Amino acid sequence: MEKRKVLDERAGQLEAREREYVRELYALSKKYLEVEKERPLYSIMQKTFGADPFALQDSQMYKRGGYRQSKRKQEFARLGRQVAVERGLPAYNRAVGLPIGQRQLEPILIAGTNIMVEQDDTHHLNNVAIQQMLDDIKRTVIVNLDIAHRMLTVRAGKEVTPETINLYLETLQHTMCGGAVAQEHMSEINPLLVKDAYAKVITGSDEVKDALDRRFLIDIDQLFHPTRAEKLKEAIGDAIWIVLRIPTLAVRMADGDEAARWAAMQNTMAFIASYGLSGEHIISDLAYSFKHARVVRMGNKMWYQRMRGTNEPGGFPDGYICDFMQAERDLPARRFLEVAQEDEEEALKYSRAMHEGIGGIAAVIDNVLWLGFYMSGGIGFSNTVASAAYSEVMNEISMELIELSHRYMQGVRKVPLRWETVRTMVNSIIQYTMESYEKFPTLAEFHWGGAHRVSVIGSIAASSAAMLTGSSTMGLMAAHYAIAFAMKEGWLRTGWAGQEIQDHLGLPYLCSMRPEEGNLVELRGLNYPMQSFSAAHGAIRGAAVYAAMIGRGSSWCLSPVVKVAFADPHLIFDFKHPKLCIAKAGIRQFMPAGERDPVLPPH
Amino acid sequence: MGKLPSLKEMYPKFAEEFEKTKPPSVLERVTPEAPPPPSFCLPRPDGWWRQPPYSKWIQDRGREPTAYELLLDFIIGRAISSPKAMELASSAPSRLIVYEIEHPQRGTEFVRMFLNPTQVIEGPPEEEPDLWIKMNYYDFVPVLGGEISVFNAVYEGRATILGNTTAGLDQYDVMTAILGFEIPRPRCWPRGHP
Repeated sequence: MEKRKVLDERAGQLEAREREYVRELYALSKKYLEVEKERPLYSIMQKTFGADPFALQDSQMYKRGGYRQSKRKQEFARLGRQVAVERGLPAYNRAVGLPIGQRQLEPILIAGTNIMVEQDDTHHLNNVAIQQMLDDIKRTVIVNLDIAHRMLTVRAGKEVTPETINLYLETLQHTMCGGAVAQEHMSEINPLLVKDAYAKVITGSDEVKDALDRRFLIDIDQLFHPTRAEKLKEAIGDAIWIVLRIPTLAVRMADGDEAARWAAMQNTMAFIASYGLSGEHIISDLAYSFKHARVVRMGNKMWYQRMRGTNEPGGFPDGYICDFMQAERDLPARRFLEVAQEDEEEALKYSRAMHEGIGGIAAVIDNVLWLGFYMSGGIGFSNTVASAAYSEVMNEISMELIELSHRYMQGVRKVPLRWETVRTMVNSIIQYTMESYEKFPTLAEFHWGGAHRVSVIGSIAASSAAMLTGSSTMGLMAAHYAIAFAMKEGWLRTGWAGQEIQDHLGLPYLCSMRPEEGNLVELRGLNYPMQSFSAAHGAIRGAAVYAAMIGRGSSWCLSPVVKVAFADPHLIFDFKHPKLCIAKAGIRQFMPAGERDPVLPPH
Repeated sequence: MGKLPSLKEMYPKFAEEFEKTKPPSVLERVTPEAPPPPSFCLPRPDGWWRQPPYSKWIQDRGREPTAYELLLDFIIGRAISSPKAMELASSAPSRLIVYEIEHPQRGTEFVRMFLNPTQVIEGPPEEEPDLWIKMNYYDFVPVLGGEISVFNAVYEGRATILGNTTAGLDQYDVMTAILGFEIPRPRCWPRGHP
């Protein structure tokens, strides 16, 4: 009994000592809150909440007027009543369900802009830029013309010259817009409905480029930094690829699989008209080649249960998703590590470009559209999660990581693909990001769920590890580790985000090249088995792939032609400034394509 | 339309030409191997500690110093004479840093270093350390000699650190001050940050 008492006392003393140690550190950390005020995060949170970012209590709770604090929700309530009266059936009605707006309904400051949008404005049905981004991808098909040209010269004995190619290209613009060329009595389409349909050429050869009509060319030299253009041109070589963009209205009415069919049909018609072809053997072979031979579709077909055709988001390979991103194309193609060692400011440009792509494109396609809309039905959560990616927070956290790399990685020639090395980096990242959430209660409120917070940690871990090593597999491994680590050693409660990530952490799945188990991350996709399907985790693969490309100083992730195809200035959505487009749509200044006004009654 | 030659006649060396059009393989362009260690991180010839600049601060015991002796000599021979290093070491929060040093012949040697109050102790830790550093003996020597930064060895994959990064930065500050340099602390973890 006596011995037990002594042991209890000793245990108590130890516990007290431990608590004292923790308290001492906590008290000490408060000393540094003044330093934290210099961080851009402080001003971002101040702007977002209009209150002290360090405040631990919300004195305005229950006093903000509920949903009326949001102008957009006020508008929705009014319009909901209007709809109900017009159709004689109740519609959107704020009187039912949980009262909302007791806490602050904070707006989002979109990164790289000075535009504040309300959360509702980033919902994919309210935000036409998000819709147009997906439409622009779904309506794209890329076809190699060399096979067709070979067929024309060898099989049909036709001569292919710059003049014939230019004539074909001009004809193709007409057929892509639904114009008839070979027969009478064909229904044609109102050009205003399909004004976004066209076709343009990509080539890596200066000689071929000079011979072509510039209007029909996606000019690599003009659109990319010379160091990137050089690599892209070398990879594409003398080949001629044609990027076909079918009308937005067509993919909105059918689905992404329509793109390849529309393109193949209209492309064949343009060949028939411009080369004067007849005879079914050659035409059927041409049509076959435009559908199947060296045709680059933006997405693979999915398995039966998913029931989606090609060019639908579940089938986009991660490498293509990252080739849609264009934010880095003006920056020299250099290894990120070298840039970070030399100049912090320059490295920041690469980091900002990376987050522009990941936040503006990968997070939207993966989280909002695929996981949130296609797979779970499209309620608001995934949009809310994506707000973490639109905002400036990721850039801000990366800024400090660049500073750390600049100061402590001088003289490092190459970061090897060793887990112990990457783990060191990831541990620092987790430590810093978790500290940020703990020091800024407003940031924890802004990213209000465990899923938000750990997915931010995962995305930052993926991008940092991939940027420094140049390996997307290492990036994904870092992301999985970061999330599992934050869950196991840090916060324990991570909401939806940490449930299954441990299962995907290990080498057997991540580094295996066996199909259905693992693969190069570039070749995986949203519908890939054996990976985390948690909301908000989609973007971590995008982060790993895009950051690895920037880390290696490469000019593309998976396909040089896809990269060039999305640099096209004729696209409605600007893939170089995705966040700006989303912000503009949030304040209703973005004009999408695919409107039916020309054939509607006056309204 | 004249008679067209066969494909074999048109392209007699098709297979060869086709091979030339392919870009080099990804494996040729990307090397996953770590870079080889720099020359000053390779095992040193016997008696290296008697040569300058090491002879200025390493006590000659008639044999190669152990990791503990090396760190102790470093603190006594170099740190004590640097007022800046002493100032930094005494302003940091209390830290326990463990070095697990792998010697090619002698095997693993443990040495512990306390920051504030400064102390060097031989052997494995009895309490949970703030930071655990594992590295090769011949990486440890140039780190103490100022030939290479400890982070360089970490990020090139020859050393491993585990634990609180800020403890590592505190120690790094002290070591760079001893060597006569100063690196400003990052904004995220300013000096003294727990």
